[in-house]
Amino acid sequence: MSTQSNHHHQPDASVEEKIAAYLEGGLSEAETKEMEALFLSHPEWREEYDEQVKVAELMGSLQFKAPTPGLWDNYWEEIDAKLTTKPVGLRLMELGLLLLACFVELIVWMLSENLIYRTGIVLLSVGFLIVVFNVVRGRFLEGNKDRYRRIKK
Amino acid sequence: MTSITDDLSERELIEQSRSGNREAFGRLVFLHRERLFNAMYALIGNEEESRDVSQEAFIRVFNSLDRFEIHRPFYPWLYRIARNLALDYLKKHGSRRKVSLCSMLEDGRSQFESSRAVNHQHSDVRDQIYQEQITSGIRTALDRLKPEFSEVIMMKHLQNLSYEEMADILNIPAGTVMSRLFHARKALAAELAELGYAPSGKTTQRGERK
Repeated sequence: MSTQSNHHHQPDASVEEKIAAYLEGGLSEAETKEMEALFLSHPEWREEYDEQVKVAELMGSLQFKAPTPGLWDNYWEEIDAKLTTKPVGLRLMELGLLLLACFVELIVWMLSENLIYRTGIVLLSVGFLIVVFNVVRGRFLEGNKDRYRRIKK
Repeated sequence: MTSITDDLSERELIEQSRSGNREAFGRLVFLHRERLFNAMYALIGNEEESRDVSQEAFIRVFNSLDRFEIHRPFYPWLYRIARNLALDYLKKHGSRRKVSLCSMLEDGRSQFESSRAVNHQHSDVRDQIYQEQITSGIRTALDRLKPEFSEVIMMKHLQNLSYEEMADILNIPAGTVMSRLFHARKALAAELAELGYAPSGKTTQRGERK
């Protein structure tokens, strides 16, 4: 991936920002000349720049160590196994709850004549069913899929 | 299912993954897993945890591919999701990096330098020893930096991310990234100086030595 940046600066960009962009060759020709003029008139900024270059060079000599052999064993297979869509049981539960919610709504609608009362009861019952479903799903269906379970061990 | 060939671009792999092609997504995972793992390792400091977090990130990414803007670079998006997971993990477990950056990094030139030292003059051996000392100094100095400083240095110099990509990942303006990186390098230079490895050798333009 290229590290080059074509970040063009606002006129009020700090000197630090401009030095960082200059280091990457990301300034326009005019901005580059401006920086070079600054370095001539302010040697302290030149020293700051030199220090940045040196640190960047030193960092360029480092790289990450290769990971422990075997780290990638089954890496993709474990991901692939978790990419399955919702389990069939979960889908059936969702469908069942939807039907139940419709049934409750129908009953309430039939038994009451007050619109506000009917709406309130319907919303309450549907909300309750959703909460129950989420609790059941969280406790029983996803409990064994805690992504940090192995880490906690 | 379409068979995946090696010459598919990342964009094509993403598009195929979006339509549910697991093989294409597997290729994307293969392309980015090591780089992402290294980034997580630098944050978490434990191989197994970093492996788990990076896997979880890939799963989240697969489930969110519909929301990915295809014209944008993929890796920073993946990195941001993984970083959020890593930070959640660290917050949940109240832990910071358990091993130092020292143990994660090595001198990228060491192999070349050691073979050269065997075949050439003693001065090369001295150069190599000096280089190894410097490398050791950098690693120690990196460990002493504030996490936000070591993170931007790692992102820029070990992950080779652009300022814009870093800004996207950290959710801060690019100017702030540049300024933070400037101060991070300055802090690193100060730590190196304290350790007796003061960056010396004045440079001219763009890193050329005088």
